[in-house]
Amino acid sequence: MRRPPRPTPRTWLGLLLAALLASCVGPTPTVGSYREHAAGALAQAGEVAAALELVAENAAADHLTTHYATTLVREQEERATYAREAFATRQPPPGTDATRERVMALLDATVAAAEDARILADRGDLTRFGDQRVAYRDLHDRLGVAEANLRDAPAREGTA
Amino acid sequence: VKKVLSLTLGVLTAVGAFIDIGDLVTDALVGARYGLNLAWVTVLAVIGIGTYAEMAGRVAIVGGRPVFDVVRERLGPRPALANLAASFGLTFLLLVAELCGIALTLQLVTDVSYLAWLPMVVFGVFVLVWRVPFSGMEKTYGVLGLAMLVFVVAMVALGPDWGALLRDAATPAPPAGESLPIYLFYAIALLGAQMTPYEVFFFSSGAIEHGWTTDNFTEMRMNVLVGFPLGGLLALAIQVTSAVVFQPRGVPAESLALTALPVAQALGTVGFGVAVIGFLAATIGATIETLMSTGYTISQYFGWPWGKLLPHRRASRFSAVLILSLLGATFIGLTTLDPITLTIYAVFLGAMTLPLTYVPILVVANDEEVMGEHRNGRLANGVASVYVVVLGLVSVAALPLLVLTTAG
Repeated sequence: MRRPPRPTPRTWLGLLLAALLASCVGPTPTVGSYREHAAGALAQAGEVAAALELVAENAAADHLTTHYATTLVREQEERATYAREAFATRQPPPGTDATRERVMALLDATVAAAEDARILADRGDLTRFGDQRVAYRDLHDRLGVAEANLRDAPAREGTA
Repeated sequence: VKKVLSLTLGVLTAVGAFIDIGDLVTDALVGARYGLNLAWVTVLAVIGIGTYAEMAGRVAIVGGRPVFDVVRERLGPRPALANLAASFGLTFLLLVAELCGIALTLQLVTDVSYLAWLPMVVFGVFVLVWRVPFSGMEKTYGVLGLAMLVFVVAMVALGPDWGALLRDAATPAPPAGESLPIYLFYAIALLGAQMTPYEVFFFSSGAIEHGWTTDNFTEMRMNVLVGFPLGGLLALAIQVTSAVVFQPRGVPAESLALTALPVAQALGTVGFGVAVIGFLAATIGATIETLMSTGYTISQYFGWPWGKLLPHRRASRFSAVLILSLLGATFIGLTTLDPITLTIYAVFLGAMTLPLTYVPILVVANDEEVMGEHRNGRLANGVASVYVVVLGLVSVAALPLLVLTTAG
């Protein structure tokens, strides 16, 4: 029985180049997958808003030292920024510009809320930070509604 | 008092190894996500680590040989070398995580970045390991580690719905809306965090450093019976506090700072201060254990003189491994690699190597020539055999789950 021909170095090189190319070129995002990512980013932002609300409640109740509150808030600021950057760098497919705009506005609002919280905590103004808890809850609710809209009506554009 | 203090090796092992940075983070994470749904893993880990630590302690006392010496003899030099590479690599990663854990704890009370603290932490650890006697370290961190009991107090003070928690604990399955692979991923991460091999390396080597003989069997067993269940109790308390505070709000407890928040909520700044002392004791204790274990494993494999009680000049290669490990860990820690992500990967990958450490201990503990009348009884063999199967399954399932769930 004849043995099958052995792959030549050129074949191996071709396979290697193909693998490298495949790893560089990701699948083109579809409207569905883009919405899925948008919903995921909003979910992460929602977790940040919920965490800020919890920390603010504890600050209002005088349960936190300034340094501890600042550390907690700084972590949430980093998470919010990460969620925004990860979504912002994603290429939106045609027909999703309105979704992108609305989601980015909410993500920006989350980052801004976390930045403001960090400024207040860093200044040791835990009373004013604690007073913001209602605003964080409101932000959390808005993010939750937008995420639910994206997940529930993936076929419609502009529901975020 | 002397009798109570004699339990400090177990308490240090429990608080410094069972409750180390890996466990602090993983317990809070699974508590916030699953409530007490994964409490069964902690129970499984306590029984497993207790069974094997007792065996390793017995082998160390009767045979005068620590775990890695046994592993090398039973696996043969080449397979044992692969085991050494895996165990050392894992322990080294955990050393990085523990050092960062101390620095992160200091960040909580100073708001100075952990990266700025890290060099000072490393210097402090070096002085501690180099200058402070073994029993001094053990007693200090064993006793300070009891500050972690603040989580038990916080658990009671938060007034959880015990009925709901017990229902959670009695339902070892993913809650509605959670996928089975991710649930299993966290189960394995938790098991890996709570049954890390360095716990038995340290415990058995510590038994030899103490010069324990068969007269110390009761002391050794008391250390196991007090230490690991105490570690399990603390782990469950962290899971409960996290479940009560974070789960209803959907906040993922993905950091050391958040792990302490339920204590602050329940007990205010005083409780938070006690938790910080507990975190420091746990992470410093674990740093000592992981650092010593890097030296123990390599020295025991190559048959070099080892031990903290030997003069540094006599155990020069052991001391060199400690210094190089500490420097290497500092370098990796300063690369800004996220220590929490590193910890989760380390404990998960560690779960894959568990059988390589535990099976040889079981084999030697049954060797009549080595153990004589102190070889395993039926109960120890029965329990240990179940764990061989469980750890084997974990080892096989770990990698596919890591890929399938993209690390949870």
